[in-house]
Amino acid sequence: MRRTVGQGFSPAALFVLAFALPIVVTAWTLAQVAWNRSASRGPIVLTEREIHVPRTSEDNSARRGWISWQYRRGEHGRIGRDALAALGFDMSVDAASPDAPRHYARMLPKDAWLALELRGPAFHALPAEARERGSRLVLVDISDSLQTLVDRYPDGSQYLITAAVVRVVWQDPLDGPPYVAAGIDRTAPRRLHISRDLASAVAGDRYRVSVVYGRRFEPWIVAASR
Amino acid sequence: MTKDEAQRRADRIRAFRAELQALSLEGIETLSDERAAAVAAHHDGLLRALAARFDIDRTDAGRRMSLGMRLASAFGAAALTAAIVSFFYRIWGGLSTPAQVALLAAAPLGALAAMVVASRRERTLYVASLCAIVACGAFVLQTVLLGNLFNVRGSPHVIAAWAAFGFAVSLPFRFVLPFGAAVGAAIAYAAALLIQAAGAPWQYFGSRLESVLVPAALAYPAWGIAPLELRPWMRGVTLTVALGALLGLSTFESPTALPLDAGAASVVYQIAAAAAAFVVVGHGLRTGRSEIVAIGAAFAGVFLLGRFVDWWWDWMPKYLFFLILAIVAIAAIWLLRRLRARLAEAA
Repeated sequence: MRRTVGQGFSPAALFVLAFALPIVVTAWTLAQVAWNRSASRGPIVLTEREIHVPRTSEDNSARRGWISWQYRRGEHGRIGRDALAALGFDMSVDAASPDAPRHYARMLPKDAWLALELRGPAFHALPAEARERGSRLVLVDISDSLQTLVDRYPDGSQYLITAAVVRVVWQDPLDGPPYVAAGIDRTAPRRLHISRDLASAVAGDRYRVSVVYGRRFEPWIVAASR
Repeated sequence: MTKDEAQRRADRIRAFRAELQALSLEGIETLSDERAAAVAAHHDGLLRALAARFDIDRTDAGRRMSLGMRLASAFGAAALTAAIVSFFYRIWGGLSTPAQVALLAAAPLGALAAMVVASRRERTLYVASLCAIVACGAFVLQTVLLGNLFNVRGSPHVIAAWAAFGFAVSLPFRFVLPFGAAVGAAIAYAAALLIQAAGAPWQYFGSRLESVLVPAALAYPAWGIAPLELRPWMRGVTLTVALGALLGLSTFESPTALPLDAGAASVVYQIAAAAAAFVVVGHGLRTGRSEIVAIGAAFAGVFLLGRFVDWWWDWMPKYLFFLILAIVAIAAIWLLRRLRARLAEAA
């Protein structure tokens, strides 16, 4: 180990870097988590309808839940041009234009914040079938400003605010004119970790989970019951 | 002197001895007995010194064994990494959170310690190389699972950490696989930052291949900063990524940063890809770098095949299609032979 590598990086320095990185990554992550959890919003209580926890297998004992939600229906319910333009999407092409499919398909998605309403007016406005079986979380708002959504929806027990990736979706339904609306590619984080202590509570088909969001709007589960 | 240079010297000595023997059998006098003995003694001493310092192969059989050991080392590393990841996922749900955090940190540190111990005990470094690859895999696993454990929103800077770890592990011993992976991660990090600056989520850098093409193309000329033994790998990885991105842009009508519609942009990239094929192969031949010629030729072949299929497959009789492919291949051989002859004259 007498050689140097490139511009004065000795092997010893590189070994120190290699050994330090896992420790630094752990320390940094724990520090971020501690800061995130130093304040909280909520809890919001979700059931198996809103947070789906797949069964574990022999090869994968990790338990993580997917948050699911529904979109509002109808022309006045969907999140459309104005909200998407406010996020910075180029909405200059009319949805009925022949250029529209190509124009909107070539757009990259954007980071945004979502507000999901739990068992509120938006849920009750859904068709009966959707209310009976689907998630009681309904997408009601999107914004590129977290503070805007926090100010609009201060009740953390009824409104779940999360980071997400939003894209423009062009639709040409059989029973109406073409339109563009917001489509959610993914939330961030996508799934919620369920600790060993709470795992038995979500092992069945019916359960309730209390989710809290911290300063960085990174969630964690504080309680679970059957 | 690097290991590659030592191996090439050993190969030249072996070739020299074989040619002397062949000339002797053909009745051609070359060296006197005294001079032949002196040269042989010098070469024997040199080979012993090179073998002791660099662990080179002195015979063809030794060379084949070394290749086999390298392949076995790479396969073993991949299998061991997969075993560790599978083990983690199997026991994960039964561990407390502190145990999970500790285990995630211990995995790459343990692999690093094993790498250092193996490097001191085994001169060939095959086991140390295996441990280095496992350490890289364990570090990636640590960053991913820590994020999952605490529901952390992702950041592109984790890719920079992967690159830094790969470089730190590979450079002291010139391990090629971790080095190649580190170069790839560095390109991915730059691509993620580029797409983020363009207003899109960083995870989507693969959706806009220009964000991959630009950093890979810019990184290629920087191969000179890598250690001698790793320069071919840096050239190879950056060139492969850049040409791969160009191939994607020229083949698929995907969203593009160019102020053109997708179809027109695809044509522009096809012209660029055709030019790149010539430039890369020519550059490889002129500089005598076989890895560049191989990558450029493979890229040209795949690109041409894609274009021919796109233009002719649907309507052209199949026998004619394959006949044209064969003619193009023969023409390529003729062209490369002309180029090689011209380069040999110039040399």
